[in-house]
Amino acid sequence: MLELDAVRVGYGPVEVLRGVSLRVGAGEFVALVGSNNAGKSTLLLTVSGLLRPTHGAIRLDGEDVTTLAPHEVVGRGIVQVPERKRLFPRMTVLENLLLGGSNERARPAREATLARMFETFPVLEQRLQQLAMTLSGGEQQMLAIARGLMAQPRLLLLDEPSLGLAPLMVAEIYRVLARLNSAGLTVLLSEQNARMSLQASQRAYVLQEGRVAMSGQSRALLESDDVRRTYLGL
Amino acid sequence: MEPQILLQTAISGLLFGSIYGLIAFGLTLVFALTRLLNFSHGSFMLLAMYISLVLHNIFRLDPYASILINVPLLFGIGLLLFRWLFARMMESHLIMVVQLTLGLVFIVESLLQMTFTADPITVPTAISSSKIYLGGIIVRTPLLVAFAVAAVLSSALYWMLHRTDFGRFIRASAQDPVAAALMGINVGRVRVLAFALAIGLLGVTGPLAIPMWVLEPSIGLELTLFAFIVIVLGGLGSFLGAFAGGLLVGVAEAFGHLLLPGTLAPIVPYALFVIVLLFKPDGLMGEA
Repeated sequence: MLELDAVRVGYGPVEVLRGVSLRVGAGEFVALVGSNNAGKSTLLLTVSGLLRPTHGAIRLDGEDVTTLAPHEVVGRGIVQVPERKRLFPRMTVLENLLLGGSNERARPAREATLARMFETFPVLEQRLQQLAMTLSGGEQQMLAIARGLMAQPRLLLLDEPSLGLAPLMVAEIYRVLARLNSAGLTVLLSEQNARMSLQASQRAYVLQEGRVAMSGQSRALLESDDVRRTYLGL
Repeated sequence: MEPQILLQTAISGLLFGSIYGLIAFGLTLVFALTRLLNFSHGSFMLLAMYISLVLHNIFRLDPYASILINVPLLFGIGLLLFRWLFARMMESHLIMVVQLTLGLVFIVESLLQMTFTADPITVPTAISSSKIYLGGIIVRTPLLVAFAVAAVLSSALYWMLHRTDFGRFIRASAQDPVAAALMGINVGRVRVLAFALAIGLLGVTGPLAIPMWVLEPSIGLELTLFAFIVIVLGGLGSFLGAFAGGLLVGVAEAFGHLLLPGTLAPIVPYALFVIVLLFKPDGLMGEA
């Protein structure tokens, strides 16, 4: 479905991604693992069209999408759930959700999608008229995911969904992601929490200083000595 | 002093303040979306007034009727201006923006001066000298018209911002342009349309102010500076605050003229500005 081919991205003279190639197949749950400045967020921003690669190509179902603008990427069904502090803080829960579902593909079925979100995230229905900034951390993450789902993604990108959440909440978020994936949604997840994301995903890429250092089945990576030493602290 | 006079001053000031409110509403829209300080905003209101003057001199068109021509014209100017100039300034340093928009002020001023000389001009309308008696109070009809139109327009804009998709796009792009882009919003398009909308709004505001104002090529910057006071007073970024701030400044200005000698009167709105910010640094309504 999604294919990155030797993608290089830099901020000015600093190169953050130094030739990353990866592949996400339809229906897969793929994790990006790596430390804080390995380039995970940069990679997701690049796929979403907010950063432009200096070299390499990004393809979606064989079509070159390297130079599309962010709203065109969303129009193709690639939707990113950014960190939860990127909700619209002074808008209500309902407004955040409506905004998620306002692109041309998602707009016609917006009411129906909204109703489905209330089934998946009952807490959001109770908070509908509250400003997003007044929600708890966990509720905000739920809202961020629901807002992304409102856009009817074929491929969902998630940036650090567990960051700063209590363990119970993290488990809940991952349960939701697993359910979405088994219902057919393709997921590319960026996480510092290597254990959690390797347990949840089928395959993973380990990013190190802007390069893919390792990749493979998540289960195998979870048992590899390198990963255990570097990312799981064992 | 008779209470009647005080009441009349308050009402006239309030009604006139609605024009400031409308200018400030547009300026807030531009600032919230682009973070650009546009010093030329008022100059385009002045331009709209001179367009009304031309239409009146050539076609005997009443300034109120000229709104129908002014709005699309200024909307178009706003589109071009944003595409060619403001869109390219988004990443520029504040000093550059100030320089460029001040440059625009002087371009508009010089063009107007070359075409119309620097002499003050008034433009007659059908209702310029008409008055309405309410109890013991006399109110100029054009003030009532200005207030009614401004109130309806700002309510409509407020409704648009909160109840339509495009309005939510505007607010989302103002709060977090990156997140808005990730939600599939074409932020560049929202910016250019909102900017054109703000300039187009001046196509209404200018003609509304004509019966109360003497046209001079040099008052553009003054209008902008006044509008800046209004939006800071109301709480930078708040649309309701912008309109309320406009009313307040209108009242302050009217009382200044009533109570102080002519040369001192203009300081009253500025004094009010300082006093409000001393006690409420975020302005009357804080953030939108």
